[in-house]
Amino acid sequence: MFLLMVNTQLTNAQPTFSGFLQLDKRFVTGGDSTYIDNFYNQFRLEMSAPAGSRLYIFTSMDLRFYDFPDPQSLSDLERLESEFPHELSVWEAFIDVYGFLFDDLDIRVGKQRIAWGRADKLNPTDNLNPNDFSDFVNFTEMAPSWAFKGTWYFDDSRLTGVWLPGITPVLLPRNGSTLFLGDLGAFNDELNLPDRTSANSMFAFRWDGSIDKWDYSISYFNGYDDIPIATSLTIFPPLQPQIEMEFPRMQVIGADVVTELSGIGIWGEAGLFLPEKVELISDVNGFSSREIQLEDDPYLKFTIGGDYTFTNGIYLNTQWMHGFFTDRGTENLNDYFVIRLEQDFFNEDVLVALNNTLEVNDWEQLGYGLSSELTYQAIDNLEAGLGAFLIWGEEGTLFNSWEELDQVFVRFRVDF
Amino acid sequence: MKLFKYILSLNLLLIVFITLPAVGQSPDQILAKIDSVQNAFSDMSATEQMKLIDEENRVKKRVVEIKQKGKELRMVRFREPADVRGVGFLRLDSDRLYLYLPAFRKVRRIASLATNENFMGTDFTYEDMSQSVYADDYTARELSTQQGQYRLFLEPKPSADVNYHHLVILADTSNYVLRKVEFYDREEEKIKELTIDNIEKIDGYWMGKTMRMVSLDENHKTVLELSDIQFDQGLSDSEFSDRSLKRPIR
Repeated sequence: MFLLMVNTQLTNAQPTFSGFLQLDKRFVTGGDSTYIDNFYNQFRLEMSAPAGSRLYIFTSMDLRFYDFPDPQSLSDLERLESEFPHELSVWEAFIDVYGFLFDDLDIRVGKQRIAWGRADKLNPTDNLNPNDFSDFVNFTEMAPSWAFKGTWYFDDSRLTGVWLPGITPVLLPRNGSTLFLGDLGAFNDELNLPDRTSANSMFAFRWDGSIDKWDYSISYFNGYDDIPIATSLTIFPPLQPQIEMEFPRMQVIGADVVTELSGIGIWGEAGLFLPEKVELISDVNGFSSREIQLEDDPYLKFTIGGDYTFTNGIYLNTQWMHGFFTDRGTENLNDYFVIRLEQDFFNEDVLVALNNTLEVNDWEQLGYGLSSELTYQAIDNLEAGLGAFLIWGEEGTLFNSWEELDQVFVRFRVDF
Repeated sequence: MKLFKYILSLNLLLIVFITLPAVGQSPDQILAKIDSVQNAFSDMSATEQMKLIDEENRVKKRVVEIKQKGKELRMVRFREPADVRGVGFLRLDSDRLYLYLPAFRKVRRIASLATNENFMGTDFTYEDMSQSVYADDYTARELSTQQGQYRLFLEPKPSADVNYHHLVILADTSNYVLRKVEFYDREEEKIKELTIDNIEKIDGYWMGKTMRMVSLDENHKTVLELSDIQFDQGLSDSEFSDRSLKRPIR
C-alpha cells in the first residue's frame, strides 16, 4: 500500500530547480608577498520535487572550479581537468516521507545535513556530519553525510533517531591540512577508515522540547570523530617516514538550552565526550615505543552565548567556546571568545559585520582573529561582498599557524 | 406642548445615535471592536506579494505565504526571491519567535527585542507582523470621528513589551475595519505609516487586500497585496510548529 502511494505520488512530482553561483577572489597578504589564492568558485544546482503532500525529493550538485590551472608538464596541457581544475560532487540527496507508517513520524533518507545544537555555529553536540573546513575563513561550516533520520513529533517535543552507515571524514582546505591537523613534515601519511561493517556504523538520538520559555534538548551520539589522529609512526631511513592515521571512536552525551530574558537571547550547549583510548605506536630505526595519543577519559566541550539587538539596530552576538572543533582531551581544550557585531543600512541592502575572536590557550598564550565583511545587495538575488580576515597568534596557538593567511576577499553571489 | 417637546427631544437623540455611532462607546470599546473585526476568523491563510520600494523607486519583490490562527499563532514563509526561498518565521506566542534558515537546516529562536528589527528588508518589523490584538498591549485614550473614521490614540500598557511610544489608528465607523496606523517612536516622532485599502468582505469577513507601510525617515515603503485568501479551514496547531516550518515550501 505504501509503495503504491509512493509510486502514485512520484508520477506527480513537479521538479523545480534553484541554486547559486558564487565567484570568490582571495588576496593573501599575511606572508612575505601578496598573492592571489587559488580558491574555488562554486556553482550549486538544486532540484526539489514535492510529490503529493507526503513525499519530497531534494538533490544538489556542487561544482567547484578554480581560476588557476596547475599543469606540471606538457602532457597536462592535453587534459581538460588540468587546464580547468574542478571538483564535482553530490552535495545533498535525500527523500523525505511525512507521516511514514504513523502520522507523527517523518523520515529523511539520504545524504543530508543534520544540524544539532542551539548555540550559534559553535556546536559541541553537532557531531553527526563532518566539519567542512574547505573554506578556511568559514571554518564553522559542516558538510552533509549519508544518514537515515526519523523524527517523531509530540505536542511540543520531538524525538529524533539517526543511523549513519559509516563515517564521512572532515573536509580540509586544498593544500591546507596543516591549518587544522598540524604540520606532518616530510611524512607520507596513510589514512585508515573503519571497515564498512554494521558494527562500525554510527547512531544518535535526540529529544528536544520546551518547558515554559525554555527550549532544550538532550542527545546521545555513538560514532567516530571525523578528524583523524596519528596511530602509527615509522621512521626507517632511507625510506620515506610514514605516519598512519585513524578516526577515534567516541560517544557524546549532549544537552543544550535557549531562552530569552528581557530581550536578550541566551543559550548554552555542552557535549561530554567519551573517547576510546588511542595509542601511537612509533617505530624508529627498529626501536618501537607506545604513547597514549588520546586518553579514554571524558572531557567536556561547551559554548555559552547570548545576543541582543540594540534599539539603534546594532546586533551583538557573543559566545564563549571551550574546545575548538579539532581539540581533544581535557588537557588540550582551549578557549575562544567571539564577539560579532552587525548593522544593516538602507533597508538591509548593506550589511556590515565584524567578528572578533580571542583565542586563549591554556590561559597563557593568546591569539586574535578579526573578520570583517561588507555585503551589498544591489538587486534581488545578487550579493556582493568585500571583507578581510586578519589573524595574529602567539607561538603555540591555533591562530599562530594561520598568521600567514591574512587575506582580503571579494565575492559575488547570484541565487536563482 | 410638553409632549411635542418630548417627542422632538427623542427624535433628536435618535438622530444623534444613528449618525454618530461613537457616542456612548469608550475608546477601549471601539478598539475592542476593531480587534474583533481583525480577528473574527478562527484561522486564515493567504499569499502576499510584497514590493519593497526605495526612495529612487527601485523595486524589490517578495512573495510570502502567511498563515494565522487565533491571536497568537502566525507563520510566514518566503517563496521568492530565490536567495530567501524557504526562509520561515514562526510565532507561537509573544515570547517564542523562531526563524528557519534553510541554508543551515536550522530553526533559530529570536530574542523578543529583535522584534524592532525589520523583517527581511521590508518596512514591517517582527513586532508589526506579530501584532494582532491591539488591546492586549495598548490602551485607547482619545477618540474623535472624522470623515467616517474613528481616530484612536493608543498608549502602551505599562506591562507591554512594545517598541513604539504610541500609535494612532483609524478605522471605518461603518464596519470597524482598520484603515490606517501611524507609528511613533520614543521621541514621539511619527516614523511609519500603514494604510490599508482595497477592503472586501470575503466569506463574511472584512479584509484589506492592500497594505502600504511607509518608513518616513528613509522614504522607503513596502506594498503588500493579498491573494488566495482563505478563512476557517480548520488549521490545526501542528501547522504552526517546528515540523511545518522546516518542511520544504511547495
